Amino acid sequence: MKKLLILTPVFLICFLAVSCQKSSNQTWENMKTAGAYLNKGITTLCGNYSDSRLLESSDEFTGPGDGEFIPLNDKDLKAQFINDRGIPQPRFSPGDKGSPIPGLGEFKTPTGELASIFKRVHFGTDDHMIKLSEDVDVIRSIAAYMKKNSRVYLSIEGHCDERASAAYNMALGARRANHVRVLLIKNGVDFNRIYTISHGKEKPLALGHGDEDWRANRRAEFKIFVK
Amino acid sequence: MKRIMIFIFLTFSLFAEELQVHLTTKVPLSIVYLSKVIGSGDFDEGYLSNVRGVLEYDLNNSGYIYSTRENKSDAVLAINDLQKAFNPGYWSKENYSLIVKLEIQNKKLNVYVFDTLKNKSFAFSTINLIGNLNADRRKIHELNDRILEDFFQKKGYAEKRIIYSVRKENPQNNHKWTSEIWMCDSDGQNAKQLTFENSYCVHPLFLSSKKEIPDFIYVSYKDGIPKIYSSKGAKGSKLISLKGNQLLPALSRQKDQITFICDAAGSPDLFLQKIDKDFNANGKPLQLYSCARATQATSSFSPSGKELAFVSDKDGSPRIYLLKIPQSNTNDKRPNAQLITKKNRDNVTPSFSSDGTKLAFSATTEGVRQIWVYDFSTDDEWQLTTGPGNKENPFWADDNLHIVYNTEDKSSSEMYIINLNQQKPLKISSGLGQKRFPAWER
Repeated sequence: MKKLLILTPVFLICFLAVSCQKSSNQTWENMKTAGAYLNKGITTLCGNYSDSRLLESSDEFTGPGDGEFIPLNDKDLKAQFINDRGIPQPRFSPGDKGSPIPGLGEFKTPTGELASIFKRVHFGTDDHMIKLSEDVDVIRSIAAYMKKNSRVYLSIEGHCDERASAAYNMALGARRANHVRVLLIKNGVDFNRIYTISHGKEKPLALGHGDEDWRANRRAEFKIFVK
Repeated sequence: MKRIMIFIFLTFSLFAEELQVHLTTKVPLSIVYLSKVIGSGDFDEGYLSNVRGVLEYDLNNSGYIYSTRENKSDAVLAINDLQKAFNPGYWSKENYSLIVKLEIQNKKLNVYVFDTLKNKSFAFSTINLIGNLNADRRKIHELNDRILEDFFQKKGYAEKRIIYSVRKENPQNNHKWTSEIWMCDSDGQNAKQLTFENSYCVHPLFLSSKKEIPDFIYVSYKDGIPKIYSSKGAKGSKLISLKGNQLLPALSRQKDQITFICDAAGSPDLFLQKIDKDFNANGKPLQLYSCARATQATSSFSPSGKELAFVSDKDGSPRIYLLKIPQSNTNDKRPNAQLITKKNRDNVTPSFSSDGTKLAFSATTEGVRQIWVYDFSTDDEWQLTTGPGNKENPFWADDNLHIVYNTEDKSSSEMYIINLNQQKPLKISSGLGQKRFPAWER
């Protein structure tokens, strides 16, 4: 009888774990999520943790499944993207018919105290990853602000320096803006409130032609709109 | 002795081939005599000289011809009797392949030719001039292409226009950068602004040809996020309904497919959109190529529309790959991408030649972006341009010989044309602003 009492919960836990498992990747992601919540304390289980929110549909995590394009379903694409996975754009572009917010013209560069949160972040040459610790801190600060202010929408502008070709920089700017967007979403920001724009090297901040100018121009800038 | 010399001369004359002159070119050029405009009409001498100048420019930059003239020979051509004007006894003294006599009568420009190979002279064309050089020059470009086709069996490029963007900084508006779409003739003249969005418009491509104001597609930032627009309609309309940035469009020659870069899925991937005869999107776009941690960029359709050259940095630095466009919409497997460019590390902006045998692209060579050509038949790539100044966005004309591209320097961007035979860059743009992303009319 004692054995039965011990084995029953073990069996149940194993059953639940296996039945919920869809892939080894998902199990790993679930373990990371569980670990994060254990760190936050028991209050999160009661729904009192401020970062928690209820997902209303699977779309909120995986992106809109409105089928507006035929996606590439290559298996290795799904497997390799775990650490650098693109997250689909919001369901509506700003200003589009049905969009909850107006066009990007209404998005403004943050001023005053907000300017110290929404600071520019920078990239290495021909790189799209945020690597400097101060830039990672900026991302965390922005994420924290966005989570606390659910009426704020964000546009991320990806920029490049003048050295690569104008055309390639257009694509690289998009890559940079999307990387920053992924970091913010991983930090808990609703993906439907973040838009990306690539300006390539078309809008330089520094007009010189030296290392410092190039560094200043390899950047992501932020603009916000309060609904 | 005299008789022997005449016999030798006549013997060699019988076996004489097309007369050619060797300049600093890859292939010999044929010499064409192009007279001044003879006679008097409703236009002053200066205007007629400009009209002739257009034809002279076109012939000399065709890649096949070198034109010349002299007062003495013009006097011979001024004889009204065509047989006498084109007297073989006179013209055979020089190595001309073709003698072209331009004659004005009222507003009519009559063009007479003497084909020395066929020993045949005739009235070739009559052009009605209106006295507006911008309008008349288009007729002269057409004349040039007809001469090339009829007498040299070569396809001309002069009548084809070029569409491009002009980027300017506005000091009066907080140094805001604007870029609008423009169009010009093949020689850079007759430049016309096509968009007036006071926004940022780039990467234009002709949708229709021959129309005075053509239909075209382009990328515009007018709503904030860059999207591909069609100029059809009063203010242009979005061509593709797809969220995210839509960048770097390429159009198939059949004008039934567009590829572009879009981050709808969260990374800059290559997409394909079918379009119908009215230039509207036909069905859903297909996510054609995506690769982990890679940035995809400019693409170019093969003439058949079945293959695509595109830029990706999936293996490190940007290089050019070739893929076969899938014919079905089952999109379970990424198309196999074959690496084409191997000599340089940084290769961008590919452009297929019209016959599909070559690919022009821009590659960083000793620190400077130069135009290179990849030859599919030999699997070899060779450098076309040299010298300082970055060159990018090559676009091949329909004659498979000429390439238009733009320079991209710290303070200026200008458009140049180069042909594979002469390999001498010719600046065609002028005026304010950076002229970029040129594309031929097709």
